[in-house]
Amino acid sequence: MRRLALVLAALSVGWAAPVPAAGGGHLRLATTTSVENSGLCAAILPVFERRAGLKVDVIAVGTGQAIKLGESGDVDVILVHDPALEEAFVRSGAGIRRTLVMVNDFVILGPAADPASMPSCASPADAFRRIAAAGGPFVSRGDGSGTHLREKSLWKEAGTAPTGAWYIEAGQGMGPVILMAGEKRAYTLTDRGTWLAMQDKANLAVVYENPEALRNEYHVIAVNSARWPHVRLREALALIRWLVSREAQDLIGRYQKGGVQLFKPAVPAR
Amino acid sequence: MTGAPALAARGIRRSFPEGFSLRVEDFAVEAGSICGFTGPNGAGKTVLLEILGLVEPPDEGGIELLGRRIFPGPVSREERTALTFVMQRPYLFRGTVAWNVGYGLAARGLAGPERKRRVDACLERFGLGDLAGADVRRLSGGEARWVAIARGCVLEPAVLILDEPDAHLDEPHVEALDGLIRGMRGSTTVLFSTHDPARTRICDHVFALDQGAVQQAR
Amino acid sequence: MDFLAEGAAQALRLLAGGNREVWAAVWISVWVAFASTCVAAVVGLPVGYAVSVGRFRGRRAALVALNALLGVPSVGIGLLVYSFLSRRGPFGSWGMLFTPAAMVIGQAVLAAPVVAALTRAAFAGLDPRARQTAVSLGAGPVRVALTAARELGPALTAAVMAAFGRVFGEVGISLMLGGNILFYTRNITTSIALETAKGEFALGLALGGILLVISFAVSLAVHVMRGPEESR
Repeated sequence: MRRLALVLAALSVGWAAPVPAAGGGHLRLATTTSVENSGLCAAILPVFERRAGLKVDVIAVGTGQAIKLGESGDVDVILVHDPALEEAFVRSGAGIRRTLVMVNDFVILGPAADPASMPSCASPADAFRRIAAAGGPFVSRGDGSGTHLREKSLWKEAGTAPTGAWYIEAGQGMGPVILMAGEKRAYTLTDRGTWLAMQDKANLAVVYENPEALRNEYHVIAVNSARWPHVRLREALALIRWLVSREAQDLIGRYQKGGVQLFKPAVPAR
Repeated sequence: MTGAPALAARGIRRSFPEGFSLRVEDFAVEAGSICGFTGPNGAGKTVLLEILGLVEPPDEGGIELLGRRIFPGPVSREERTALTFVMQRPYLFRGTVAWNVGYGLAARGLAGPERKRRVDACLERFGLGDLAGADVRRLSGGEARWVAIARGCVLEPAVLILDEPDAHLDEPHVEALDGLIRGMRGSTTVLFSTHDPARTRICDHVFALDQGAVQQAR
Repeated sequence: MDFLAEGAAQALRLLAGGNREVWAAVWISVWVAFASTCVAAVVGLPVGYAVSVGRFRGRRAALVALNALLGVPSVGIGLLVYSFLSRRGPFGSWGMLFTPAAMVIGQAVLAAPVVAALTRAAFAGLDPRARQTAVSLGAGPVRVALTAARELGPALTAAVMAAFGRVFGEVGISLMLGGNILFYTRNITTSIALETAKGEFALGLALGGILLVISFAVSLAVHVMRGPEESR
């Protein structure tokens, strides 16, 4: 009994262990799973952390949820990719200093056999129409993420509301959705970064791409301290400044996975 | 009876769903006396002793210890320690004989050398010296019962209640029990139940129970 | 089948190679689970004891509620605690969301009913004479409880270990309340969730294997600590 008590006492001293040394403090960044899963954050943020003497806590969720976290003041800054939601976020006064950080594009993936014969499509909306006509199947993120929101706007543009057993709403992140699409030999919309990270894991191919029409912009927005006084606005603004700095933009441009560049910096190298 | 009775009970009622009920109107024993309780199985001996020993509450009635009402109402630590009850089938705690015997003393806040001294003295008195460090699981039924009696006696209570202490006890221990109880006359009030009429020889008073009713036989 | 062999090999490589992320995840898993188990024990043991031996009005209801709580899914608990800890919630000003402390709170809420229910069952099975004897020898209520616990032997340790096992392997609460932040709130299970989402199944299996090994190690350590009388 006494032995147990001693061990418990000794171990309970370390219960603070998971909490890292105070020192710099934490800046909370909510970003999308596609950004986090690409490995970009882990690759470039440590540079900022060292410079600013901060720890950046990256919380990866869908764009919709990231914006909600910003609205409720649970994070200090967000990095997301849905222009409509972002503009609403800023208009409502919840976010400030919206700044473009990087760009890539969405692509449509599909089975190698490609029954909808996509490459000949004139536009993304046209592509979606063909998928609906062919009865898909199509796997959707279904989770309010940036990709999901883009997908919904494309369906709207195509003039078809996707319903039926062929439209699968997975409610998951991009990775699992791509895997699911591979398993079901279905079509899906994805950002190119995640696709490049996953391409050897799913039996799919890019069946339609259109970098201008499917342009995907990532913006960083700080949470307004007027709404939530506790947010670390100064540090958030420092991060924003750094993200568009030459140093960070170069890092973003040079970041590769499997030998391919995933994101194009907003400020192109001279 | 001169002075306040050591233990008194009035208006006790205890009923069981099976139909048995105990009724004790007016019961008192004087301090320092030895009282025996006899009666067939099921007569209510254990029920009565458990009530007097504050182990089980009656449905109605009051109990006084040394003149102070202790039931109904909360029993204070001092009152609790003045009264010790040893069950018919005693339960020994996991551990050694010495640990068990010392339990009540530890509960009273006695610690260290003082407790050890009293435990050792008690073990000597009961002839349990050799078994002091023995694990209770290795004791015979009779030895276990004897240890339970020692465990109660070491507390030197004002009132000691024993439920069939002689049952399953080996012959030498039975004799030692008689001697023990006789030796307590005057200093401790002892109540015990038994099936064996020979045991009641040492009693000042004998009470016979029959179907839940008490009659003073001597 | 490929995954399994690859997973095993990868597990060894990760641990032996001192992979920072994996070791950090292990550290966080163990400490958070340990802390939440301690809290759950502190709350659950007395509650289980009280419901088992106490005589109070509503005891039956408490028992029913206790058993019902066992069935609450971890995501449900995660959501509930999230709503309390979010800045919009009543305890938002503490700023505890997305910290290991939040994970501890959530896991403790999950584990406490486990401890309480198993404790209650253990005490219900105890010979009533044990407590009666303690009472008759002058023990106060706290000593009676401790003596009764002592008489139960390994049963209470088993209850606490069951709670540890429950929280060590859970992921819903850890994800929702911790945010899966690298080196901070990313533990083994949330790492598995992440790697699986990225399609890294072998890595996920490797992490799962590590989780299992640690569970065994903890179980063994407790067994050894209890000493030779375990054969009871």
